[in-house]
Amino acid sequence: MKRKFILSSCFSLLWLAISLFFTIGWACGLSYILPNFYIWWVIIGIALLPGFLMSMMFFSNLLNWKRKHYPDTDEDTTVVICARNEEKTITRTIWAILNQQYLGHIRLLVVDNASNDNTREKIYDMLNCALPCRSIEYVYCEQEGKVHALNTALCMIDTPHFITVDADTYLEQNAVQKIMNHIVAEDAACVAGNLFAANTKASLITKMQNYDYLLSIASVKRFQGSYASTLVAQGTFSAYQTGAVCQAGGWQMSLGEDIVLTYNLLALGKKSGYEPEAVGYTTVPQNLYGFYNQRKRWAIGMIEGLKSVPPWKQGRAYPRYFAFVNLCIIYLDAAFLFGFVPGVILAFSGYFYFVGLLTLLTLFIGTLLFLSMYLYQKQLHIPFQNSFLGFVCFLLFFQTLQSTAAMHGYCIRALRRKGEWK
Amino acid sequence: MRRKNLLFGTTVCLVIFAVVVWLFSQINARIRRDAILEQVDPQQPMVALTFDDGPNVRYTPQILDILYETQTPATFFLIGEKLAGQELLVKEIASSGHEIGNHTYSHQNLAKLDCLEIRQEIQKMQETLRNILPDYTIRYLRPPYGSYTQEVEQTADIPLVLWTVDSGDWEEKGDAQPIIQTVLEQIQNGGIVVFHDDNPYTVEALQVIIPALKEKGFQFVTISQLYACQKKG
Ligand SMILES: [Zn+2]
Repeated sequence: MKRKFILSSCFSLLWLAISLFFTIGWACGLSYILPNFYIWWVIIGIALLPGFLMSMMFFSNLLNWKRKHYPDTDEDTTVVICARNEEKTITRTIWAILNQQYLGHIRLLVVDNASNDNTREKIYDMLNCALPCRSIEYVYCEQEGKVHALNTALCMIDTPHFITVDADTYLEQNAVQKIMNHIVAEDAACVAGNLFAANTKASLITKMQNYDYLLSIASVKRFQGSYASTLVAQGTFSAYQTGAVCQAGGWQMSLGEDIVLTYNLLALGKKSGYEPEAVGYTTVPQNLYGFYNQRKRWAIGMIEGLKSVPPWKQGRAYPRYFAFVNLCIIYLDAAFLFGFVPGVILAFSGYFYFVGLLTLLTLFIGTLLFLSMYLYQKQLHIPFQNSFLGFVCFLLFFQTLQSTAAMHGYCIRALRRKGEWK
Repeated sequence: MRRKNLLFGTTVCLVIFAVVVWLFSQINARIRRDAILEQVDPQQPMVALTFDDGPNVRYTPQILDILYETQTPATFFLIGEKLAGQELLVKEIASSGHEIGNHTYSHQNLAKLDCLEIRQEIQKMQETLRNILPDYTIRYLRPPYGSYTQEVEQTADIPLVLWTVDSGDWEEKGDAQPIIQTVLEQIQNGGIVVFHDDNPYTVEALQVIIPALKEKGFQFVTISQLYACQKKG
């Protein structure tokens, strides 16, 4: 683990040195027109730092290409589903859990978080479908808020590990087995599953998100997971160690409760993994508005996580490094919006001074990263749908949308305004 | 909520737009300056300032600023291989009304090259410049180190230009004073002074030389203007 980390660091430093070599000439050519601080702010933010991070991720993921195989566990487990007005999707979610090929017993806790639609009826309908080794319990949580629903369920869990699944997410048949194998064998505090977009055909926005999950999110998770330091064990589909979650104080009141919990677990010096073979399909926002709000919430969640446990207070070295990287994301988002985008606009008017050779270098390493990630996901034999238009739009517009939403989130957090729940 | 998102999105767009406008204004502030126009009076003494071995990203802009402030036209003999990445600077030299001359592609001693190599050195520089300024025609060649043979003269399809006063700024004495002294002592009507826009002392010296020459009644011309007047005269 350590050797691979050092090797990938060396590779990315080499990459940095190469890009720096090209950059100096570039910066000089501009320095007589623009203030140096702006030039370097842009160059570091859109080329050097992203190039460094991506090349490290690329190389590390290559070194960790081989998947780890864990022995099958038959430990009894609990699956927690929190639902608030999820009548449309809850049945499918529960059904997917009941149909799991898992060696142990699964106790399914469905927490109805004060729904005022037919969620309760839908859950009741499913109660009859319970099997001897797949039991279902209906839990009602009056207090609104996912955090309360989760903490209510936490008190009822009597297995050493449990899994949370969102009510709009359904799992592959072996997902529980795979994620349980990982968490038991690695003795991790939490393990994140591999998520794909479920409703890829719904709209262009969902098609774009499909590639975000498939390529970007998964490669970051794999990178961090290789060093048992996944920064976000997303509540959508993750496994947790019950004792560790209690020790960390359960879920705290916040917008990114899953992020804050993972940060707290890591701060306790515990491991946080990622299991690419534990696959879940989650319903992603269908329109721009929903997508924008979700990403805004994620950005706020990230800040909340960083605030609850600052990078320098992380227990182990790897999470400390990744948390520092996350801190850089704020800067990268700003540099992308106010450095790269104006540069592209300028390029369209015939001034190719910003979007020059160095940006091409960054695009090159980005392509390598995406390509390797695509091949990796492909060999997992997961039936994901491809869409050419979706991919092109993902490349062209996704980062701009995401950075804008994230920037909005940072601003909200900075102004200490409260965002709303889901 | 929806309105707030829209509002924020618009704000981001506005900030991006503001950055673009700012970038444009920064670029235009330099390359879109009004050209220096000077009426040349053939009866008055004149002198041509020339700068070799540029463009230099650090010092050429400083020299351009001095020339612009004092409304002094000059001639820049550029090296072809130094043009890469300096497109804006080259555009600014041309748009400010200065003349651009050929100082070969890689600053080799032409006297030591054969006919083919000489032609390559000259043409490659012109092609590189044409990529930046498609309509610009180079009219003069200054051979590196001032060294040339008859073969060079015959091979080059444009006239060679040397100098009458060597400012000596290439000797790098770490001081502007000798440069100022040399130029002011040796200057004569119709003189061509050679400088190198690659060191701080030339910049420093120019700040003294230009006003001093103006005081002496010299008018500044480009090489083309100088030769045009000399032909008439
Ligand atoms: Zn020279």
